[in-house]
Amino acid sequence: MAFLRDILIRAREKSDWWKNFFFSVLACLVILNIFIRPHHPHFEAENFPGFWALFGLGCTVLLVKVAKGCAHTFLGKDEDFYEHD
Amino acid sequence: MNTINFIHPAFIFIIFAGILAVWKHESFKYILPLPGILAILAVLAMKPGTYDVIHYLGFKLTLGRVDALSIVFAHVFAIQAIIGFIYAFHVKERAQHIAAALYVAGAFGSTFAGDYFTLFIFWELMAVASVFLIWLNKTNTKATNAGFRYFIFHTLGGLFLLGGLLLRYKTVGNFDFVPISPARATIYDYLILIGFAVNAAVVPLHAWLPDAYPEATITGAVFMSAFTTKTAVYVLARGFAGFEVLAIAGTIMAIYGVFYATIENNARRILAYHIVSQVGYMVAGIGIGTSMTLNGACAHAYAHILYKGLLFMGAGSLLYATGTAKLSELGGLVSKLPWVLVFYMVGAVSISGFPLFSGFVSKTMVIAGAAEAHRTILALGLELAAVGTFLSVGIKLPYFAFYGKKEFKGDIKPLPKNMYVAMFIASFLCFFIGVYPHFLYHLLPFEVEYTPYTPWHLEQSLLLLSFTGLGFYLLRKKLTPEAKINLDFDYFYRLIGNWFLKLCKTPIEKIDNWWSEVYERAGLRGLMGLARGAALFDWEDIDRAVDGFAYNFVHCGGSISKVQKGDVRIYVGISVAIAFVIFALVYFFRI
Repeated sequence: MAFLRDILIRAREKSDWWKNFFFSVLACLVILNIFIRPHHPHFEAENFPGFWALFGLGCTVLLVKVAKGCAHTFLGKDEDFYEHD
Repeated sequence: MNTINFIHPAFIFIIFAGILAVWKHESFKYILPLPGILAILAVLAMKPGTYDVIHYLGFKLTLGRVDALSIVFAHVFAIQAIIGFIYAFHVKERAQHIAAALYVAGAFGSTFAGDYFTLFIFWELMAVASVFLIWLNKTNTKATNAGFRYFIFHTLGGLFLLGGLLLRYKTVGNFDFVPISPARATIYDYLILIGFAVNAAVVPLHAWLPDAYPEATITGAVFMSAFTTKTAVYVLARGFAGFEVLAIAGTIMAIYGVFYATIENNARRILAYHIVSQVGYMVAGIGIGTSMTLNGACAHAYAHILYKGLLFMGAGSLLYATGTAKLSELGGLVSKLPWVLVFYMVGAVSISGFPLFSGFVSKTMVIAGAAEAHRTILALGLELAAVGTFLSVGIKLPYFAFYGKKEFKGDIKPLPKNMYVAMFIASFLCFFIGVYPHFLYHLLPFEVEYTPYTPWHLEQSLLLLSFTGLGFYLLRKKLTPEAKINLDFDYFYRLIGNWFLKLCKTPIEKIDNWWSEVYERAGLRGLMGLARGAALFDWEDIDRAVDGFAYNFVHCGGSISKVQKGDVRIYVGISVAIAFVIFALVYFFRI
């Protein structure tokens, strides 16, 4: 099992390399989207290259902001909240 | 009635539970994977048809309705039973295995039930057996109360189902469990629907699930993640296809689950919320009701059972090794549990719908089906849920458990090998279905006209998921888990429960006080008089006779006091055992 551990630890040390790799993948995917188009688009916006990229990013930001906002204002309670009663 | 083609898998598991009950030597563990293997053979040998029809109390009960829809669920139930029991191979407590076996039996029984009466019996067996998977988690102080809440809520759901099926019987005159046309559904159909919706964890009836599953035993949660909700998906697909309310409820579930998973801290609770979310896809597919979305719902249920079991095994392994499943206490485990990370990640990319893994070939089918049925808003809602799924299960959970700034400093308990074996099998299947979707598609109830691997589907999924990754990268500091719990609808359940308790207590307390007074004034004096008379009689004759009996009574009293401790758990167990014996007798003598 040790070899897997070594691979994973070594990978962890090269975080800059992974960061560059990740951003290149993102760029490639958006460029590819100019050529690969939906075979039957279900709505207008889908034809716009990068729509799903924006959708993914937008939804993530929205979800995190809204969910964390709710958690910090009224949903989040101490872990023994129900034991108080 | 050809019973050679049909061996009911439920009875394999019930007999197995019976054998475990008497097999006290620890070698019982070697037969644990056996019932699952027998069940999968039984399922593979099945031919569509109607089997095991019995007449009971003047009703015709169909225990074995076999068709494409029941086979696809039974198939994966059997596989998951094998995996689940391998994962639980090291557990020495037989009661846990017995509970798991009866629970699986309940799921199989519900899947093959051709009428509501049979369905109800197995449905309740499933509810009761699964409670024990929570209660038997003796190291967890929260398990007892969580089990009671789970049990009460499922009893409530069961009552809706019972009310519905009895009303229906009164009107229709039979218990046949057949598809219901949305246009002609009436009050009793909706009562049954509510009963099913409780088990399918439809929001707002879902809160029992994230409340109870994280408190169950490590191995019990693996079973529970597979059977209760997916049996409910099966019965919804059977009875309620095309109900608009399900299409909307399912999409809400899908988003609701990921919303909570984003802010949750406990790894097993994150996964529990993801059951709500993933079952949402299936419920939405059933609600939209086209052959493509129904196929998608079944395919997704199949894929989901495998990857969600795998994820629960991964999170369970963390809990086993470190003693906690809270992300705020974990971190840096990559160097300590590297294989758990690998297996977990297979489950995580499967649930997220990465190409080459099982979720991709099933989830996209539901979404594409929704879009093709011109339900664009629902389809976009499901895509939003897909983003949230990858965000919380695919990145947040593994990042903070295995990487992250914090390092888990405590001791790591080595995992039993069988846990790795089970996770390997599940990982293999997730990958296998991903690269060879035909294996799954040929089981589906309708002809499949969907090709998952087209350039556009690949491009779209990768764009969506990789930019979700970018979102996490930008917001990762905001997502740091906090040692908090989040209020959900169970807050209201508890409120209603407490209110009901008060309502009951006040009159009962009054009556009790009043009765004590009556008893003291009138009853006690009368009794004293009576006692004097009895004493005279006693001195003369009875003494000698009674002395002989006394020993026996003391002995008997001991056994009774065990039963009458007021421990509801024991009552529940005993009543189920009795019901079981009665049902078994009926089955064997009246068939």
